[in-house]
Amino acid sequence: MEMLFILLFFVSLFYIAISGRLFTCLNLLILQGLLLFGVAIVELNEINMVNLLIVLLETLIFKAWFMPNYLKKVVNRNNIKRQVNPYISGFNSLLIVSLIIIGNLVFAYYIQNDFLKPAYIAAAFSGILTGLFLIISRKEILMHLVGYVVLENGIVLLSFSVGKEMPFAVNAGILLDILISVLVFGLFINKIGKMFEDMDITKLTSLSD
Amino acid sequence: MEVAIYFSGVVFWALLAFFVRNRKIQVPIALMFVLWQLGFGIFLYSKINETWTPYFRNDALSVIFISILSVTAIFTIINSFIYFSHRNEKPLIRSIYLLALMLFFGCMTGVFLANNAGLLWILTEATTLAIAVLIYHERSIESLEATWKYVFVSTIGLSFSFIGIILLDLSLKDSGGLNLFFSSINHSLIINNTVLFQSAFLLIVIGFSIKMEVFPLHTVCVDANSIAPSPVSALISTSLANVGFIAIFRFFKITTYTPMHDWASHVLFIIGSLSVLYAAIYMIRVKNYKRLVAYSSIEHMGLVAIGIATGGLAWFAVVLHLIYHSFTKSSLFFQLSQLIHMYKTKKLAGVGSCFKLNPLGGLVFLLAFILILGIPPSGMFFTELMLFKTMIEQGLLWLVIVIVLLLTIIIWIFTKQLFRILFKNVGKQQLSTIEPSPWYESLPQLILLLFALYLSIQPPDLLISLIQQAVLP
Repeated sequence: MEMLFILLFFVSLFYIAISGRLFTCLNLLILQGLLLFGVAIVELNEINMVNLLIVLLETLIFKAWFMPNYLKKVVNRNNIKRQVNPYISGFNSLLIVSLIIIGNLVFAYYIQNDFLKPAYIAAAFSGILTGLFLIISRKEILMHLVGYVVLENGIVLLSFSVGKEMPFAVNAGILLDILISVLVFGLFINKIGKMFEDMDITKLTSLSD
Repeated sequence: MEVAIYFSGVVFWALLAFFVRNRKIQVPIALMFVLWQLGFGIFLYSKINETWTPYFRNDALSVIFISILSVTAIFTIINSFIYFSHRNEKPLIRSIYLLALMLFFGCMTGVFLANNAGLLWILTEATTLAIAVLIYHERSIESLEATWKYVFVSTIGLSFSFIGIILLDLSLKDSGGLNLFFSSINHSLIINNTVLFQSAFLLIVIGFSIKMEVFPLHTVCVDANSIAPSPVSALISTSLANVGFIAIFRFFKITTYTPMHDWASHVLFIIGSLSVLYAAIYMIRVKNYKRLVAYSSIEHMGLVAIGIATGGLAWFAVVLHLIYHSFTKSSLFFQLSQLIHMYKTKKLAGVGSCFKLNPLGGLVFLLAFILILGIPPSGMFFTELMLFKTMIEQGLLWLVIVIVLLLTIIIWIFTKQLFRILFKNVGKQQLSTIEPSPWYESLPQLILLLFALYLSIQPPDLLISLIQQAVLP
């Protein structure tokens, strides 16, 4: 069952790389949130109830519902244009994400041990690197945020795969991290939207020598 | 319990400073906070090496850095109020600043005390939140850009270190492991999967490099330093860099118990050398005096990274170097605040005649530059000498030659710019528009520099024995 979730996670990475619409990307974040919820149910059934509840709250309520919808609200409120404007074409993006996934499958084979399953490692690191790729290759600040959330999803996936071994602090850490990012980023998107009219990172170039 | 009381106190003073909007009342509140911080530092020293909870531990290293933080806190608070008086802040904005500043001190103290890798990571992440508010303080387009870049890169970097911590824990599971606690570490660890261990260490170092201000994630720190209010820049360059140091040092120490020690040293040698190289190259073309001083921090932290990698006596040198660097660099940033106020520009081309306009301020600059460049009697001269000596003993003469050449370039650029600030004549028309800062505003910096000078010439036995305890393998 968990292999199906992992496969769908890979598919969502491909889709997000070629998507030209902001709302499609945000919907894909909802899908990823649901997939993480599925993984959590299958993988973390042995940990204690409180911990499991926090994890489920984090994936289902926070990742699959609150965050994408909050970002959609930000888009609507600030009249942000809904077309994604990448530096790299859809085909090349697809190629790069494919290379990322293949590279991570090889990497996962090398670092696997009794506690780390290769499929999880490959999916998690692919998520992290695809997130970084989205940040580098897209001009819109909101797409940077989408890239960041994809990166975070990769990290959460990794921590779920080792969830039985890790203490409560790790889950608390993830939650804090996500809270900080959304609160700060949400505030800043509003501020940046007001100050720069359209939210394009090419405007953020006043700091240099 | 003791740590919980300290944190409750920090939150109490921070909230009080936030809700009381009157500046005259905020001064004694800030003073009480400083006393609280200092008192906690003294308490930690009196209870050194006692463990109250597995999550926090006050070893010699944390006592040293919390003491530096507490001393810096006094001068940061004084300079923050001088900064407010220059700017006519709105009460709400001033209150937000004080709230974020006090919580920032609390988070940094927590990082220095953390005995658990997960907790260390959470508290480091919390420093990002507090510092973001402080960098954004002036609410200009530039400060928004600097904050955005800092928060974004910092959060991504720290996500990397989070993955690194998970992988490190897993790679050490076979040999009893870390279980995320630094103190319970087994001193002879077996590594079955070297790729996993190497990936973990690399991710941790990359992530914390943003706090330590070393290659590869150092660039946003320069932007943040150049835009933030000067008292905040002083903290980013000194105490926050110490936070990064303590994180990287604690994880590097784990590698010394493994066969991967040499490999980890090479990583830090590369990171340190590239940081010094980067600082030297970028200083040549720098036009903004705050950025110039920010690049100097990257140079010093690069040297510190090299020192961590060298090991042995170099660890002693590195901790001492950080003490001198913290006091000297923060006074330099505090003093830069006056330049901004006097000349209304951060460009090197727009400043000059500082000695004529503000003799005591000029003297502070001269002394700070001598100390920061490591010219005797600066303590940093002796620590750098100690570092180079240890490196030569380990057969790294070629690296010492490269670093010394780069330091020569840095000294040349720094001296050239110092003479421009102190002696270059500004036009009569500009001179008439400049409003010199009163002499007493330079006094706190002078006291801090004289303190650094005293520690350089005659470091107390107490300090030496603390450092010796702190760097024990």
